[in-house]
Amino acid sequence: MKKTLSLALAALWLVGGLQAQMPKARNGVFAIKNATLITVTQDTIVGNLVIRNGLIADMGAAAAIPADAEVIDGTGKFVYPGLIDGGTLIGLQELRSIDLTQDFEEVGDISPQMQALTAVNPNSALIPVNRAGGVTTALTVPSGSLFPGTAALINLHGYTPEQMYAGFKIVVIEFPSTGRNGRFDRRSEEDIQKDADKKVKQINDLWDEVTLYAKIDSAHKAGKGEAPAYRPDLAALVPVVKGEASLLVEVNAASDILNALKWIKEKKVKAVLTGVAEGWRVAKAIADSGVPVITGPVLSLPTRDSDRYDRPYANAGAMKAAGVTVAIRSSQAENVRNLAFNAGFAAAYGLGTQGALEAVTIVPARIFGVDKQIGSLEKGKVATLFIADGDPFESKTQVTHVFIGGWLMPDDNRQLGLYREFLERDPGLKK
Amino acid sequence: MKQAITQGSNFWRRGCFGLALLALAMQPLLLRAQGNEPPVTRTFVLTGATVIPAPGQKLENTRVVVKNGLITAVAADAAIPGEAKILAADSMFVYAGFISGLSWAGVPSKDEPQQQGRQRAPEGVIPGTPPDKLAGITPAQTVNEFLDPEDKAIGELRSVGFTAALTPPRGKMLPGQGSLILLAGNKPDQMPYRDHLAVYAQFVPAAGVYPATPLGLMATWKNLYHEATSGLEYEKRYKTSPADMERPMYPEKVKAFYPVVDKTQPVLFRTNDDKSAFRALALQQELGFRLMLAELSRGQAALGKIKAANVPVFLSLDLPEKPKADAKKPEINPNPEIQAENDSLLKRQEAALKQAWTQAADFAKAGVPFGFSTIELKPKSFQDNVALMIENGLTEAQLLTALTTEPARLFGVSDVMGTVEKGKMANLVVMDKPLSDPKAKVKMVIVDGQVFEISTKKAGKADAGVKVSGKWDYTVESPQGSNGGVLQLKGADGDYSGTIYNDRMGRTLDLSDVSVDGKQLSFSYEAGGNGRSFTVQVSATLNGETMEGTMSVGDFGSFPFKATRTGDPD
Amino acid sequence: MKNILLFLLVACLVQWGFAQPQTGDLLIKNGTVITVTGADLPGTDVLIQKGKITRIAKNIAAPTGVKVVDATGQFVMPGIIDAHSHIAIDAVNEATSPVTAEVWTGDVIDPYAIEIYHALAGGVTAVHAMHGSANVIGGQCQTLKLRYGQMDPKDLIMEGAPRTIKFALGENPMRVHGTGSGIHPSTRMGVEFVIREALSQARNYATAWTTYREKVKRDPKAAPPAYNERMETLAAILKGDIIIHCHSYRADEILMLMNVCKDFGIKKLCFQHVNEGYKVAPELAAFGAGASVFSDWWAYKFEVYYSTSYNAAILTRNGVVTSINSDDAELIRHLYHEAAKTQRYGGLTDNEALRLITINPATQLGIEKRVGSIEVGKEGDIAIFSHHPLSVYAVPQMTIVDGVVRFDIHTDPADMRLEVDPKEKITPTLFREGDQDRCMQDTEFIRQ
Repeated sequence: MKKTLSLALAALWLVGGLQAQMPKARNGVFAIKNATLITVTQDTIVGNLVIRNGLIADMGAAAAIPADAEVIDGTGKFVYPGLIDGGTLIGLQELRSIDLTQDFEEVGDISPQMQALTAVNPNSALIPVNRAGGVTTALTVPSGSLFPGTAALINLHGYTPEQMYAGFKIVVIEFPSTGRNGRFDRRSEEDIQKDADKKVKQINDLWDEVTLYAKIDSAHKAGKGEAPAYRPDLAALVPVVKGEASLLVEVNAASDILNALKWIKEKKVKAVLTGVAEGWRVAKAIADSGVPVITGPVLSLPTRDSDRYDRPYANAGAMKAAGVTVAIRSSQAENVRNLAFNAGFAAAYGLGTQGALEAVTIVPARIFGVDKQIGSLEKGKVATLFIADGDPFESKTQVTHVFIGGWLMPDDNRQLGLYREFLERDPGLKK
Repeated sequence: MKQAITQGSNFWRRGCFGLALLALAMQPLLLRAQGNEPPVTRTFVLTGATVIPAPGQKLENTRVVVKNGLITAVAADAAIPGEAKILAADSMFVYAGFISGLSWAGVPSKDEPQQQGRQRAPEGVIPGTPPDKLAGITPAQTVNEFLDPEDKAIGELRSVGFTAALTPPRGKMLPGQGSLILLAGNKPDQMPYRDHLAVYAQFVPAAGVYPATPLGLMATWKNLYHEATSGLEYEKRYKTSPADMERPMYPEKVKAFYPVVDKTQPVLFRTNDDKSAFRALALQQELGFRLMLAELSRGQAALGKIKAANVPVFLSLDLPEKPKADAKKPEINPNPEIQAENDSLLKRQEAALKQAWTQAADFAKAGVPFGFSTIELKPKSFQDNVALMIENGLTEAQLLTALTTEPARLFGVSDVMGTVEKGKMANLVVMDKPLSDPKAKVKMVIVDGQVFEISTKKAGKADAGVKVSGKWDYTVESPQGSNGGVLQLKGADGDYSGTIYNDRMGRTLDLSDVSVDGKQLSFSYEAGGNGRSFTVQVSATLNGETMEGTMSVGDFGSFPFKATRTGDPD
Repeated sequence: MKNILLFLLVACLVQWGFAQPQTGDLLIKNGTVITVTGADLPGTDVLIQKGKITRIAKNIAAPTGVKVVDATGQFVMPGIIDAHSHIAIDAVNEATSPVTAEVWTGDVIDPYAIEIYHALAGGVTAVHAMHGSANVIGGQCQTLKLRYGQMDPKDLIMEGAPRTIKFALGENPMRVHGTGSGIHPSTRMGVEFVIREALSQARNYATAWTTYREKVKRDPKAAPPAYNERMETLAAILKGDIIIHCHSYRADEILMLMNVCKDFGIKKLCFQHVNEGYKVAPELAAFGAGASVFSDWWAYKFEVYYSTSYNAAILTRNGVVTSINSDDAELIRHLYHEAAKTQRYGGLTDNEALRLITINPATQLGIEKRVGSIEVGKEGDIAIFSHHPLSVYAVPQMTIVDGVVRFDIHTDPADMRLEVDPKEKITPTLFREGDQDRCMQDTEFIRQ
């Protein structure tokens, strides 16, 4: 046992040694040969997949392997589109207990102009650790106030935020909640309602202000009248109020979801609900509204002590069964890699493997309007995908290669590096 | 205050016919003169009454002769002494005075005000080694030094028939020694009937210092007990022959535990629920002291263990109210699954209510002897709660036993209290109907031969000409500084409700028990934070557009309270 | 379990005060029996009588009156054991002093906690209910069996389980006592000092009592030393009567405690969290210390920034008795999945992975002769799964403690609370805050 391990390690060292201390991503022409291609949107096929110029240049049983391609043997392996996490803190938080490493919560109630993308740290040690699990793309979301800022969809590779940007931003609202904030929230029922009502009024007032701002602004741009005052908060909301951009609505309690849907309809907002912990309670209303949902984390406790224990696991499946468009999020920073397992649990509790797979690939891609580029394996799409030796939701499965935009990610991250260093520490007990 | 004895037939059944809330007033009958003059006579006779000398017994048309604080005769043909004042009690029912197993009547909360729970230790105190007082470990002190005959709670408890109560000091885990006190008296030293009846204990950790949690509290208990065991053993040896022996120097708190260790004194443990009852029983089983439980609610789960351990128990007389019959029915949810969920939740809640109401009957059925305690009882609810217990299977004899003979037995005073018999202390309750009748009202209470007539007035009159309704700005002066907020009171004619908003807490809370008697307004509410809740009681005198009085906050003290009307309620 | 609820619902009709039976008889038919300590046995029956496993064989005929559970196509494994939990207790930290060895979580058990049922629904049958990590020497812990439905807190205690105590190194005690109260420890130097000081005092205390007990036999004038529950407990550690379970993260502090233990002759030691255990795996193995780790938690504070989810695999392969724990009311619901992550991160075999949540935590708690595997003579603590428990598709079907079914996915009602507040609103909405750090519960007043 020990001997085999040593040999395996030695081999690793040899290969790793050539790659030098700081492994880098590589791009070029790659061909994955004879793999099972899980397209998600179409039939599963066994064949080859060719990556060139960052795109899936060709795929299928008949796809030819170019002479200049670096060939990866995919025999017995599976190729999946990269997983998309519909809600994370990745890049915005390094250490949970140290405020100064956190960049997701700005001071103030209304700050939609705050840009998550600006604060994303491309060199966060968390990023390589998490993409190793096949998560290639994540919405990174500011939080902590009524309008905490603008979330950004990023690819988990790049040296600048711009290189990481995946082409979608969305203003976030944390919809006024009539739930308690936790066990120490001792407000009376009445007060909770009052606080929520006050906030709804605040939003509606803001909406009027934005409308006025937009009117003055467009008049000004048409050469009529003065420019409106410098109000970046209002400016950030103009596309939302006009229905040109969508709004990410964080909401969880059943009654709040209904209130939010009512408000969305009233204001004719193009909305995406997120969180939606009690979605199963009002699934039909959500389905009827046609508003898509990004739910999660799936691995969480029931919202009420009297609830059946598995409600959080079964929530996504229950909503989908009612006709809701459902994507899944991990709500994590350091463990975005657990997106696959969140999806796995949702799959086991009613969503099914295909449904769960869609919920972390093509569905979020559609919600974010990037489904022409990512979210499935199709010829011409961006080569953001990974190779695994099995079902990626299964813990046993190893993800062997991750491609983001045609770049092959280095087979290294801090946690893997520590494993390689310490599995057989040298010197061991005695120096 | 004038007395007006009225015969409101539905007096105690609040809300039954949507009646106006009734207020009560009580005052010692002027059988003694004002000031220090002696009373004209200390002899009087109740005539024509139905006397219940002991649970399950009954004497019709009987006289009770009381002289110098003692019952001298209980008989139909008892001679009426020449110096006696006759108190006609025709068609009335006479019971032995009730005894509460645990009460703070007579001990107004005067503790140093403290913030709740999770707080830092005071300046200069290392949290791990606080002085005993701060830690709440003062088992040596007795309640007698804290007694205040002026405490309003004495009259309130007496007005529903209680004449004696086991009263300990207030405090934290081990506040001190309880005495059996009489609910009358002009001076503190007239009140205690028997001292050092029990070491009082409760599951109240200290604030910000050791023991700050039930973890530290339980460990402290064990430590004290073992320390006392060791100390007692040494002191006994020392007493036999002190020569050549180090002088024993055990702290007061340890010495106070000697009678607990040698079982000459019981521990009276306030255990509000079955979980804390189990906890106290576990301590008792590990250490072996004599235990009494008090203020138990919904404690059926612990019944078997209480019975097996042969531990006396005082059940809480505070019961959850019956839901109002006219309460709004919740809306039917269009989703049948959710509706089914709501139905089942409601059913479970009903079962929980039922469990609270049947506790006494369940204990009686199981043959576990019990009395009642009144720490949480709002005296105004007493008759309602009696009715609820009777309705749920408790017999009048069982009820009366728990109110009279059982506590007398447990406190070792059966020779002087608990029954209406010649030679016993004149502690009596006179009611217009049998105790088990939901419409029964207390008309007169006699404590140690002192007569208190209990009068009732319609609240409509009680608050005549006083406008309560309004939006009031209030301030409270506490040692932490002044704070305040908005008080909203609605309603009229004895039917009031309201809310209170505190600026510092930043939230609105519902008021309960808003009542007005003359110009006296009182109400209470549940406040709290950081996982704890406590009752805040306010009583104030209305003076047109202002009011002034006191706010008492849980166990933490009373503070001056002032308010000014700023307009109509929202 | 359903019966327990029915019992509650019709409580007013039932004579109160009779405890539910604590052991039961059960025949589990035709499942794939994962024994953990032996081979997997397909199509095999397990018979439990009076709470103990009495037979493991094919085609066992059900003795009269014994309930039969059909596990055809299902997986029968030993009940999961969580070596680090804070569920089912009313207080976690007596955070007022850096040494509180005298306190004991067994004193504050909360049998009503819904978390107990949640854990059962994840196949967990026993937990180590630990004191928190606010103090260097925290408090004694208690191994519980999840006998949900028993109202007497004592009924949850696993009778005869060895005594254990919580120690804590690093940031938490430094922050609570150093930063919070300006006393030792405010550094890792101080942490070591506090431990050495307490153990030295305890050694003197024990000597003083031994001397006294000898002396008083001949001399009735001898005066006893002052009794002290804290010192009694510490002295019991020195005697080897209590297993230390130490909250730790960094390699240096782990080494420090092993050195202290060597100096005081303490052998029973298990590290908790031990995120940097992988760095000192050979030393841990040489000492014989256990390691109870998270599958993948990291980056929640600085001392866990250099963690790796391969920790369990590295420790296991270096011969350290390793377990995976939850420390959390949510994570405890899927420890089988947490164990499975060691297959992704380090490629542990099925058996190695399952040991992390069964026999290994049992060993760390000193209860390995009673639970942690399916063997004749062991206690009837069993979890039944729809799929292999290491599969993400595995759904727990039934959880059995001492032969009593405490979770049944098919017959349990949704609302499994044992207690209902008669005054509370029917549809309360309580959203839980992140319970990530219950280890530090009850210390808020100091951390503010």
